[in-house]
Parts: sequence; structure tokens; C-alpha cells
Amino acid sequence: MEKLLNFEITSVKAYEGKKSTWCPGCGDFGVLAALKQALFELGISPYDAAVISGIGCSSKFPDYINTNAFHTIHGRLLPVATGVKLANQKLNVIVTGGDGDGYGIGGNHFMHAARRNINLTYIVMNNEIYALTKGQVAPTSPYGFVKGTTPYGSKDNPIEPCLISLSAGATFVARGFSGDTKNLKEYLKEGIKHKGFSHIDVLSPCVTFNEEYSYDYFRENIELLNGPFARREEAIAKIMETWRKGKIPVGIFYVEEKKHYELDIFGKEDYSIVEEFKTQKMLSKEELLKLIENKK
Amino acid sequence: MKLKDFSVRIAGLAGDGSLLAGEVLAYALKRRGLYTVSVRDFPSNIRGLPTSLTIRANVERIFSWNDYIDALIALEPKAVYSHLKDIRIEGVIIIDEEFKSENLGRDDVYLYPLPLRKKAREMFKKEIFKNIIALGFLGYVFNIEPEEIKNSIMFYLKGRSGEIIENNMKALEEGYSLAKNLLKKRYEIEKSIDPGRYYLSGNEAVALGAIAAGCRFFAAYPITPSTEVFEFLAKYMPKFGGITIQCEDEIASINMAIGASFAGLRAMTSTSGPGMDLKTEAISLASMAEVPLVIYHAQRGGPSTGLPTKTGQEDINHILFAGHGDVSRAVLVPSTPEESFEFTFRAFNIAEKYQIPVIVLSEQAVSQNQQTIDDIPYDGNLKWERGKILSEEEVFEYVKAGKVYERYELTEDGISPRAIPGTKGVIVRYNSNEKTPDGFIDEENEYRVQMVQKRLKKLERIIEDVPEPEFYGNKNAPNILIGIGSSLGPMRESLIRLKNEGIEMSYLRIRTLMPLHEDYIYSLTYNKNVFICELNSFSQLKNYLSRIWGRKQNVYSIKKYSGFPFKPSEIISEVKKILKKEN
Ligand SMILES: Cc1ncc(C[n+]2csc(CCOP(=O)(O)OP(=O)(O)O)c2C)c(N)n1
Ligand code: SF4
Repeated sequence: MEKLLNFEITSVKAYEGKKSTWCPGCGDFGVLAALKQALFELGISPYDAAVISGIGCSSKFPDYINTNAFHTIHGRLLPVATGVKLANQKLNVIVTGGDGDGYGIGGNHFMHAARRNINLTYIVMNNEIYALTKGQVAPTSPYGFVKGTTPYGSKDNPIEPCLISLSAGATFVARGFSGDTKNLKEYLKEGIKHKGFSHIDVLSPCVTFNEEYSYDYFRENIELLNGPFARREEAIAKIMETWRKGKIPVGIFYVEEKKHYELDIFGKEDYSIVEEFKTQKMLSKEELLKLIENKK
Repeated sequence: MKLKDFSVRIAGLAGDGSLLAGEVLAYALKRRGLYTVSVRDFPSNIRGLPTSLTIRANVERIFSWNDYIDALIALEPKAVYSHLKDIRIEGVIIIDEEFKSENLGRDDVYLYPLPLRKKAREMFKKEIFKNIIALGFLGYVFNIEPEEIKNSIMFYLKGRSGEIIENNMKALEEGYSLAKNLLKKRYEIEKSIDPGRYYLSGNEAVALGAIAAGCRFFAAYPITPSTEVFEFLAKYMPKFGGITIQCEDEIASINMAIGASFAGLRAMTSTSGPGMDLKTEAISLASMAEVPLVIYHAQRGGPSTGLPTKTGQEDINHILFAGHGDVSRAVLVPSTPEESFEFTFRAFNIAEKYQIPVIVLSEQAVSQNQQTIDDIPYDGNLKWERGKILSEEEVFEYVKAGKVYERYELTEDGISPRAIPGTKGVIVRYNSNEKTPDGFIDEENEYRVQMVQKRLKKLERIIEDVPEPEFYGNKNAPNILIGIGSSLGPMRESLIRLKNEGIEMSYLRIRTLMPLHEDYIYSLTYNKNVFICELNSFSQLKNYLSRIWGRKQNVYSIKKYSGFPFKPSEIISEVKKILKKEN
């Protein structure tokens, strides 16, 4: 019995979820492997983590990992994750989605989660395409991209998500490549350890709908920056400089130690409203009436 | 002359202080032991547009405004015209003297042009005190002791500077002394000596209900007429270890509440019309992923931005049907502060018991208007009932038995036990997609059908837990009124007045729109003339209820869509018109 109730995790296998339905070769496999390894190495047990996703190929993530999980709706993963984290800070909340999900439909929440500096780890599998809906342009797709809904070429310019999170106030900003799980795992570990909003954009090729952005393309075009940079402005400048050269910047761009949102509100680390509530009894009538008397 | 039922309106432009003067008066009347109801009319703007507060008081519990007013204070002299027709014969009008030369065209009222602005400027160098001077005058007219109003001023200005309070007291005295010199007609209002009552708005009651129910997470985006819930909770939630958060939009707010509920908290969001549009997708999510959630929705008038500060019952269709797919939900509709409290409390129990979204559907006239109530209905009947939520010990039982915990376990009643994420030994997996019992995505026929049936099963018994309709009047009356929300008071008063005219009427007030007490409603309305009172132009309530009777029966819709609640006379005249046509 004793042994049964021992929840120690001894192997990365403990994080194994369902068999994935991703296409063989999908970039998201690398991210999954890196996250499992990162959690294991950090000693975060599946019971103490919650993976929250939106909708998209990449958002199927929670099915493939053995942690608490919530597969939510398109673009709303950050608000759901924020609610989870505020309710129970003891949970390690990892947010996983796609670039369409997070930078398109969920763009507003992305900016505000960064601004709030809530202690979440947000991993975006950026394949520069909408994959689950079978190949349409995403906010990260290049100008002129010809896809199903843009047969004459997209007229929208792409965004650089890391510049958005940096300028919105994220306190950990990085970009990894799913073809390089060794480095990616390190970024994820740093991001998870970081107290505050961690945004990790991951170049994650879609081998089915986006042959333009293949593993080879990324291997040839990424440039590892020598971060993290000391100042936000510097990180922004270095990222822009790299793009100007026609290269894609990767690496940890920026890390800032700053009081995160929950700490600011509750004044203590690891506060769990869920736990606190367990000790509460129903209000007495007198207590309730006192609230009315003081209402003005 | 002694008045049993007494209505006064204080009107002006936004910024004139009509609301404050009105609140002060209402609170003083409450302390006299009178029941009061207030109806706020204010624009969606901060300054310069017409605003008024109507206060009605009675020795008995009342639920709505009346057809006429006994007195009007017109702080903005022109306001007198918009309200003139509402003043009863021998009623009182208090206006600024600068306006006295105007001919009102009514010689059956007592007109008191007073140096309101002049005195305020002379005494305080600020016109704003004109409202309290006028209130003093009114106090004398209705024989209210100045001390009573002073106590009320103290209550409302608690925490303000000594000078402000003193000036208000002086302004009040000035009003009384003006009245002593000028008064032609004096009234007396009934007094009862039972001050142990509360003066509350529906919104305040909802906030109290949420706290009492153990809600510890509230996320919203401000919108009239629901914001006071947020403000109230923002003040008190931290005292109970909880949190309120103002989100970037309504979409974020409902999804945060869903996240908090997943994590194990009782969570709520609140909104109104346009905000509810935005929350719709997440209501589908809560239904599909079986996340308990309470959504407070205070209706206003019109589609789009519409009438932000006025009332309506135009969101019935939306609330009942919003969401794609077969969305489970319960919809409770309070009419009073007591019910706003009670239904909010019960909504949390229902949401957790059935693991569905529960909507408390209010409207501006219920949410923002204040009423004097006897007591908060908070007794042993209201308990935290968290449904099938597994304790840590119960989770260990699973583990010891070698059972795998399944979030969507197929059970007899369709309700699966909820484990709290973070409990050692179990993995809690929620999913917005169709799924297997353990929460993994699955679109195969077998599980799809079982999951749909599971969600259907949950709905079968909800009717046992929701507020039943309220019937009032004679069961044999051949005519019956049906209504929801703010129609309560006007319907009730219509019965009495119709009876005096020889028309026998009863009423049925629906307090739960979903699930609907169809059999009960059918049995009480069968073979009667049914008049459905509703504040919309599409007959939404009638269309929804009509399936109960089919075409066999006379069912009429009495509609109003001005942005204001019904007045009894409006229901009465419609009923008479319809009956006359039918005969
Ligand atoms: C509100 C809403 N709109 C549209 C969709 C359809 N939809 C599903 S996934 C998706 C795009 C996914 O793209 P991305 O987030 O980049 O993820 P990927 O599939 O590329 O991993 C869209 C548009 C939806 N599920 N919900
Ligand atoms: S379609 Fe693209 S993104 Fe989706 S699983 Fe296949 S490779 Fe991955």
C-alpha cells in the first residue's frame, strides 16, 4: 500500500500520453519530447503540472502528454490558463498552442498575458500556417504566400511575435527550433523555472501544408543570438537586426526578474485559493449582513 | 392628508445630483420602516443628459413603480415637462424660481418655484447643493423630520470631509425653512416603526449571493448594468481569500472563470448584452467540457449597444439558445433583490451538481434599482452543495483500488466525479472535443453517442433543483398573466385593479426559463386567456412558451420596449383592449 501511494517519478516515461495523430515528421514531436524531458529533469510530476491548449494540430498537445490537461477552444488558452494559475499557483501551468491560435485569434490575450506578467509558460508551435484547417496563411506567414484562401498571394505582412511579447512586457522571451530539441529543452526548462510570463516561440515545421518552411529551411536560416540581453530595448534591436539580415533569430532573448502577477496580488508565493477554500466555512448571517452595512 | 402609497421623482440632468438626493430620501424612508422601490432613469453618459430617480414608498412590500407620482423635484427646470403628465392631481412640483413665469398648463398641481440655485450659490458658492435644499423642502411637505434625512445624509456621505457634510446639513435646513414660509399644502406619509430592513439593488444582492455561495473567483469586463456586481466583489473577495480580475474583454473573462473552475473553485463571470454575445463560444465550451460555471447576465434594451442604461427582456432567445451544438444550461430569472441573492447562491450548487453553465438572467430594472427588503433569504436551506467533487481521501481510494480516474466516467446519472487537478495520484483531463471517458479526443461513433447520452442524462433531473414558478391570485380566474423579472410588481398590482373593474385575473411568474416547468404551467393556464407580459418587440417569451399550448389556446403578448419596466396601467389597458376585441 505504502508503495502504491508513493508518487515519485523515476523515468520520463511517466509523462507518456496517448499515441499521437500528428503526421510523421511534424515539428510538434520535437516540442513534445523536449517538454517531457524538461518536466522530468525539473522534477515536476505529472500531478503538479497542467497543460492547457487551444485548438489546432499543435493544440492536440495535451492528449500526448500525461499531465493534468485542458484542451479548450481556439485562441482562448491563455485566459483559461490564467484562471487555472490564479486559482492554484501550486500547479505548473504550461500553455501550448499554434501560431494561428495564439497570434491570430488569440492575439489580444497574448498581449495582455504578457502585460500581466502572469507566471505561465507559453509555448507556441509556430509553423507559419493554419494546419488543422488544412493550410491557410497565419499571422506569421510571409507577404505574398499562396495558400488555399490566398490564391493570389497574401496581402498581409507577417508579425514577429517575440517583438510583441517583448514590447508588451513579457519577462522571459525565447525562440527555439523543434529540430534542435537539445537547446529547446533548455529554453523550456529556463522558461518553466522563470517566475513570470515566459513566451517561447518554437519554429515547428508542418511537413504536410507548409513545405516552404521545412527543417532544412530553418536549419539554413536560423541564427543563434548571444542572449539573453540585458535590456528589453537591446533584445528588440538585436532581433530586428537579425531579421534585416534575412535570418531568423533564435535563443533566449530576454529574462527579467520582476514580481509576477500572482505574487503582487496575494503577497506570497505558491498561494492556492483552492486550498485556502478548503479551510473555509459558510459565512454566518451576521457576517453577511455586515457586508451590507458597510456597502457605502 | 395621509398617504399610504407615495411616489416622488427627482429629475435633472446627469451631474445635477438627482440620484444622490433620491438615494438619501429612499434610505430615510427605509429607516422610517417603509418599503421602497426606486427606478433609475439615467443616460449612457456622464454629464448633461436627463436623469431621474423615482422612489415609491409604502407600508407594505411593493415591487415596482406606480402609474403616477405625488411629487416632482425638477433640478433642471425643463425636466418638468417630461414628467408633468405623471404628476397626480394635487401633486407637488418643486422647481427653480428662475422658471416660474412659464405656464405649465396644469392648474391642478401645487407648484413651488424656489430659489434653489440662488440660495446654493449664496450659501456655498456651489450650485450643486440645490438638490439637498429641494430635498429639505420636500421633507417638510411630507412631514418627515429633518433628523431622519440627516441620518441618511450621514450614511451616504460617510468618509467625506466635515465641511461637505456640514454644508449638506445646512442646505437641508434651508429647504425646511423655505417650506415653512411658503407651504400651501402638506401631506403626511405613513410611518411604521420597524427599521430592521435592508435597502439593496439586485446587483448588490447577486454579489452577496456569490460570496455567500463560496464563489472565490470572479472575472469580468465592465458593462452596464452589471458592473456593480464587479465593484462589490472587488471590494470583498480578497477578504475571503479570493480574487476578482478585470480582463481584456468578455471572452477572456469567461474563459478565466472556466479555468478557475477546472482548477476547483466556484467561479463566476458577469456581463450584459454585447458581452454575452462574446461569451457564447465559451458557454459551449463549459457545456461540452462539463465545467461548472455561473454567468450573471443583466439585460439592457436593444441589439448592439442599444440602450445601455435602460431595461429590456430582449435577450431571452440568446440566453436560451446561444451556443452551437446541443448546449446544456440552466437559466434562472430573479425579480427581486431577495431572489437575486438566492438564485445566485443556488446557481453555484446547480452548476456544480450537474457540471454545466448556469445563467442568472436579470435586467437593468432588477439589477440596478434598489428595493427595501425584509431580510436576506439566507438560512439553513442554503448550503454549499458541491456535487460529485472528490476529496483527497476519495482519490486515494481510487489509487489503492488500482482504478484509473476518468474525468468523464460513464455513470448512472450521467454525472462524473470531479477530481481537483493537483491531487497526487490522478490525472485530470478536460476536453472541448468529443472524447473517451478518460478525456482523450475521440470522434468515433461509440463514444460520441455515449457522451451525448451522458450529457442528456444530466439534464433530466435539473428541474428538481431550480426555482419553480410563482402563482398568485385565484386559481379559477379565466385570465392569467405570465411574466418574468421586473414584471412582477406591475403584474401583481394589475390583478387588484382589474378585479375592481370586474376582470378576474391571476398571474404566474416564471423563475426558471430552462428547464421549464411545462406541466405546471400547462395545468395552471389550461383553457384560460393567457397574457404574456414582456419587454421586447419580438414576443420572445410568448414564442418560447407557446409550445406548451400549441394553437389550441388564446395566448397574447403584451409588449413594451421603451427601455422602462411596465406600469400597472399599461398592462391593464392592454388586457382590456384584447378582451374587448375578442368578445
Ligand atoms: C472560433 C474558431 N474559429 C475557427 C476554428 C477553426 N480552426 C481550427 S484550428 C485553426 C487554425 C490552427 O492554426 P494554428 O493555431 O497555427 O495551429 P496548427 O494547426 O498550425 O498547429 C482554425 C482556424 C475554430 N476551431 N474555432
Ligand atoms: S498537418 Fe502539419 S502541423 Fe498538423 S500534424 Fe501534420 S505536419 Fe503537424
